[in-house]
Amino acid sequence: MSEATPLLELENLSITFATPGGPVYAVSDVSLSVERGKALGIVGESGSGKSVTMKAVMDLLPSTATIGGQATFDGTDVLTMPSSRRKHFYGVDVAMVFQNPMTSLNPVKRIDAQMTEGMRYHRDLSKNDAKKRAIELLELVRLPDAPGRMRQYPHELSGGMRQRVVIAMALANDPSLLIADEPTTALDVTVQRDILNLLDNLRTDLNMALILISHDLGVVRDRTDDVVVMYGGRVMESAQTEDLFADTRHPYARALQLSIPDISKPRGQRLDPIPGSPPDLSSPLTGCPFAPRCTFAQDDCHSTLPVATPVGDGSHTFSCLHPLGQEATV
Amino acid sequence: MRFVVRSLLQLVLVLFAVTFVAFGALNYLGDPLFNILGPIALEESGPEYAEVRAEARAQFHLDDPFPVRYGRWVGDMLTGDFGRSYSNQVTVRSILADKLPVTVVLMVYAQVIAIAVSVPWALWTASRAYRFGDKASTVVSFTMLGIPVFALTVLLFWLFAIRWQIFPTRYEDETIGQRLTSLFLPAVALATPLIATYQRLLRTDLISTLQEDFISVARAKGLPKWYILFRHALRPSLFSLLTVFGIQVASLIGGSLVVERQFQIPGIGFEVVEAIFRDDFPVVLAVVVVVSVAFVAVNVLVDLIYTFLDPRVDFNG
Repeated sequence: MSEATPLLELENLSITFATPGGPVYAVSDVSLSVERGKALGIVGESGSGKSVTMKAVMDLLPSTATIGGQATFDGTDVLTMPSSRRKHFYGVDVAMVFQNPMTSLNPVKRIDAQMTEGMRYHRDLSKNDAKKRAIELLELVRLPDAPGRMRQYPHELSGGMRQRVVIAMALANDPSLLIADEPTTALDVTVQRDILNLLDNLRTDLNMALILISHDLGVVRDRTDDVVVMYGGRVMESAQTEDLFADTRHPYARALQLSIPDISKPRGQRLDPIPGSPPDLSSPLTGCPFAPRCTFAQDDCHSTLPVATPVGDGSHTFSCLHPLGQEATV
Repeated sequence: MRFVVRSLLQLVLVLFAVTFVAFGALNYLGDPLFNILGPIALEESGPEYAEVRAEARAQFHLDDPFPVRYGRWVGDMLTGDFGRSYSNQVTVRSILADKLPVTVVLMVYAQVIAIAVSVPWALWTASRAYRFGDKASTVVSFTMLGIPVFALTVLLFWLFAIRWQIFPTRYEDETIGQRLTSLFLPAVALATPLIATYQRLLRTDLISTLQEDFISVARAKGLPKWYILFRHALRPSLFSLLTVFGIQVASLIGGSLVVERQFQIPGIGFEVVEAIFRDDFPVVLAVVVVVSVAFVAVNVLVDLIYTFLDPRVDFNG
């Protein structure tokens, strides 16, 4: 990506889970970065390691996980931060929004309690100040009747409204990075775009960096500056968003593009699904993780692990032995 | 309103079923006349004794058919008249007034100890699930469940009352302090299996609550561990504990029969054991009624607490 110092930078991050059946190599050698105020999309299907990577940053992995590599936030090594720094790092510098708003809020606590607890803990706000700020935040995320919602319980709100509350909660302490893990997957289609646009607007208005995790390349297309495409716990292709679409090199990134429904395409044209299913990560890969499902795979793809190869100035990299050329792109 | 009606209906049905069974069973258990009149009533023969016997049978309505006697007993009970003890003619009401408070204090005491120990213990084990402290706790709690109450009573009594003399050997209740110290060992004996039960249940529920998304959200908010445990995980995890808490009222009363006797506590448990041995049906039946009412009342209370624990529970559902 570009020359400015990144806000969050992951270098060769690897995550292994100890399971009764042996280690699972969930994430291998992932490097990515996001700059202050920019938006990064992480795209991949289930099991590609996109969520696990961000959970490692948020220290949300179970104790069975072993993390290797480096994660640096604004000059601080996140994985080995002293407890004095940790204390007001999560929920202040970095905040996260999760996939399912129906289960993201504590069902037995009122909205106001859940909205204010983070501010009161991290910033020592008085109860009243915290409540005022909570109402402001709820209005910022355009929750209808914000003051009235404060005394309600989560089950009295719809999914879309709950996700707004979760987003408002994440914004409580002005984070400089917001990680949104599939924030709209569990919502009605009609609400999805509202929430995505809200996140997009908040990022610009609050000058906050955003990492948008999605399984849908279409979701990140118009809302991010850079995209990382992950598969099998590895980065397949990483580029500025427009480059990724204009100059796709990795067959997997290409296949993802072809599976986006497009309203401008003629009626009756079928989507192209990717045949097969994600790889078993319980043994270290010897070749490209996508090779078994790749239509362009050749013999060496199964035995040689491709390394990140730069295109041009190096902001665009791909990990493929037989990349698509310029002529192969849409 | 529906809730109140339903609870009352429940109480009536439980009372009817329990007293009917108890009344019927006691009816076939022996002849109460022996206890009313003493040995002469049965052993001596002769017209003068037959007359005395007939008089007593008439006074206590022993010759009426079962349904009539049951109906009469129910009618009296509803007006608050539980009859008189067969053995000493004291009203059952005064026996209850005398003995019941001691037992109530003992039960509440045992439950308070059980909750006070099991909740922090469960929080501690759930926060370190599957690690050493948790595994060791499992062994300890199964041991506590396995020890019979009567054996535990003997052990506690011998160690703390006789050997180390920390607690009195006999029941004293001049002051509240005396009452609490002399009921401490029996309460601990009764609480021990409860502590283990509550700890197991709450630990399991806490572990599953801690897997919930909203716990991840709370952690992502950077809230401290203890806060998440107490303020986010505890309340949604209390359901099984609360349910069993209500049910355990019955087993506590069963336990008090043993413990009160062993510690010579003049409570209703002690009294009812004596009453059973002397076929003193009015006393036994009155205790059955009190226990049933208490059981239903505690479980209605438990239903009410559900609605407090989780706003999604419908009060009238």
